[in-house]
Amino acid sequence: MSSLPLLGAPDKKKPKLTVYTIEECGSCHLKTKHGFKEGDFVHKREGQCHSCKGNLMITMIYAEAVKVS
Amino acid sequence: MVFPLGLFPSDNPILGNPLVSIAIFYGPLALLIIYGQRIQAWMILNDVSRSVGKLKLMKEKGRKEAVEFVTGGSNAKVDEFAPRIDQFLEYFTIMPVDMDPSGVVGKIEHIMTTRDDRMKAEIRKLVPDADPVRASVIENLIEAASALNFIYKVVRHFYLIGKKTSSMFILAQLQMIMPMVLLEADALTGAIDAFKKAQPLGDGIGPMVVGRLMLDDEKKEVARETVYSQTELKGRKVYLLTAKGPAGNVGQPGNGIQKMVEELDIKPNAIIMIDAALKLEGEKTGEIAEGIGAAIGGIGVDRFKIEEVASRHGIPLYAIVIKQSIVDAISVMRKEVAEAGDKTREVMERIIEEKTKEGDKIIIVGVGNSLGVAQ
Repeated sequence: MSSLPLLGAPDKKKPKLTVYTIEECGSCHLKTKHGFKEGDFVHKREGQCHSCKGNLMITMIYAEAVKVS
Repeated sequence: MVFPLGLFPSDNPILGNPLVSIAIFYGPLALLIIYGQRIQAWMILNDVSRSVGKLKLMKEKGRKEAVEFVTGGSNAKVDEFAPRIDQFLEYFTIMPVDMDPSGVVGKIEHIMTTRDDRMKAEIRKLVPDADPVRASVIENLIEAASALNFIYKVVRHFYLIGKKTSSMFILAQLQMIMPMVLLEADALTGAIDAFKKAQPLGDGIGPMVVGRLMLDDEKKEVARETVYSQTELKGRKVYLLTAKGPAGNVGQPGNGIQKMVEELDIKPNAIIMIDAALKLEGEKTGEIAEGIGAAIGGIGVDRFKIEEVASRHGIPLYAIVIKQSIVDAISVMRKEVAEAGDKTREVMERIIEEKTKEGDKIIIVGVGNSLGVAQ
């Protein structure tokens, strides 16, 4: 059970966030997820899809909390 | 006299003495009654002092990151750039007098535009070869560092006043608002990392949803750092407007809509605005809500202009907001917010179908910071 924060003090426990880039193929809608690299931006055209040769585009860049096992 | 609680054994020569018992029991009580407030003030002072220390660290981090980004990590350039950046951090804006409020929005707009122009010109002078994305990142970094600097200085001011006047009430008020102040400062510190890497912010969900619809169409600049395009959706003529990305801009949606309606003669049957909105504690991040009115934050100039043009021409204003905390809004976009994009589009299409008919004209505005989001 997590302990309550001290009265009036914000909870100091912050989840560690990792930023991911999601690419999607315009033809087969296959989504791939990889770590964010500098120069990535949403709606950037990223070449061809490996499976259907369709156009790949970055559709999302988001931060997600890392799950601690 | 009998010791009230009978805590001390009567056979002990010292503790058994009723006077000693009285001193041990009533002494601290008297001390607390006489010096209680001072002890409390001392504890508050310590607490506030720790928070001021934290704010100082955050402020220094903001400055350091801005200097590092501008110099590109080169120590040789620090001496050249650091004094200029320190000067930026101390820039101030004097808001116009509002005793006679008529026309104050125009004055505010003028002052804010001048401030913006000056900042951009200074950055161009500082880093002449910076591309638009890098220049906008520097601008955003300086804004964040400047906000942290301001927060620190104001809090320190009241802390020192409280200390100087030994006023527990000033310190207690400071202590009461400190969790909120720290939360905001924390959010700004978190934003610095996102700015540096040009990652989309939570506030960028509006430009993300609208930018997706603009991808294959020709984009025209309609106001400063604001673009629009035209497309067909559900049999309606749709005009999409948002800040120009992937640089970190918020654009001028107010001027954009005004120009589209009054100069370009696009008379829309509805304006739909999509923006990030601050959630209340307990509400879910990424939750979508619909409403009526101009969904746009900021100082109020854009909202005023949009409301003006909408009411003058009788255009209904519909709002879709994606909820998130202040921390999420200015940090890297959270998964829940990014995934709300598709649902937002569904809501937008439903509003289009319900509130307009085929052949109508609609302006859809993606409000927010376009950092890391292209069209």
